[in-house]
Amino acid sequence: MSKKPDLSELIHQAMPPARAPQSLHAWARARARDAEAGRDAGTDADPQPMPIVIVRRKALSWRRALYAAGLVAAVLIGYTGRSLVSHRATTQLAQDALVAQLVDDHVQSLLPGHLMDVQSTDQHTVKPWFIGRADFAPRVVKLDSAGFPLVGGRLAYVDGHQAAALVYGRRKHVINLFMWRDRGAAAAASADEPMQRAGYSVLHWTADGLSLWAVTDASPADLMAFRDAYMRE
Amino acid sequence: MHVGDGASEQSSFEHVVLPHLDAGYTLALHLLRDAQDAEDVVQDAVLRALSYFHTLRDVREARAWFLAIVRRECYGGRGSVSARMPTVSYESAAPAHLIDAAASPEDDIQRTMLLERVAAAIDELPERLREVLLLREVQQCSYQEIARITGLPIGTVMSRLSRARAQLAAVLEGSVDVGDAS
Repeated sequence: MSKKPDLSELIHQAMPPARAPQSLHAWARARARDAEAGRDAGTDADPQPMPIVIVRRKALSWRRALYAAGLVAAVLIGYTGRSLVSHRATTQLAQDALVAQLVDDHVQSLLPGHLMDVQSTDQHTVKPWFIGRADFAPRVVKLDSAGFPLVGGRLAYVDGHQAAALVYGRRKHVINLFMWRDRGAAAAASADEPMQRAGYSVLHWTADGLSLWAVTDASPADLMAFRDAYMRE
Repeated sequence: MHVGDGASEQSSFEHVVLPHLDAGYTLALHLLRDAQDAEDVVQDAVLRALSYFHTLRDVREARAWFLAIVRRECYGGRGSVSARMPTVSYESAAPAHLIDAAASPEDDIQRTMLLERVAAAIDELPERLREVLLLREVQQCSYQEIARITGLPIGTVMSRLSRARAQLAAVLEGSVDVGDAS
């Protein structure tokens, strides 16, 4: 039926070229320009190689920085301009930072080997995996019948919380469902509309004292359907 | 001493080396099998490359030159690559292939499974074969470039490549999905 596949082509498809994270590109460019500037300024005469001991960027540092910046801004605005800026605006800032973080984690999860720590289509495998790893037991349900097959799960760290990330599929897309304990979360289920961020859809709702965030590159409608299916089960 | 004469923009590190950042990252990712480690290693490689940039004689060799640095960083200081074998299987292709296979046509499933097996088979190769194969098939390096990057004689590169291919073919031959689907 199918002709014998070419080995080279198979290898290429099995191990596709990756793109370095934007943050790394930006960092490298900045360093290159710094070095260039230093050279022009006459360090050329100094045969000493550039110091190799540079503070290593911490993992996710720019994300943290972004989040911290959001928080600082939120706090500053909240503090100095309480009368000028509504509380809504400050929470909006914090939420933007959080959403950026979630989208980022989602994108990173799509990198080879990063999608999940536990890979299973069986909720009875995925759920116990979190026990002893997360500080709560995420509700892991099978949603195959609704068109969202369970793929696996992993631990994430979002907004200063340890979070569980359940990974579901939607046709060729991935849905990351992040959740963490949130004292402020209403016991009753509540939901917002999906928001768009850099081509991704993000949907937030709360239920059972948990804050839940679903992120996907599938359509917002899919995301709503996913939430409904997840909450129904 | 610097590449080219005069510090024209075209000869700057940014224009000569940084276009190969993704290639370096891909190599590190495949050798180390960890995105965070790959990022760290590429970062170190960039710093190293910056400080040795003046030793790069020919701009056309920038890619192989940078990949050689990345490779060295992968092996150096962090323990050997082979000591870093993952305990879980390595998801090498885009995750889409894991998703909702049931909704895809039969051929897709077959192909996806085959690709997974290819990735796993590559993973099983001895480090010295795997590396040469990755440089050739993923990075599309020439034999000369691979020789330069790894510091191996070109004959060794070729023999390792053919051994890597033979081993892969042997592994895949035994599996149902190679060749005609049955």
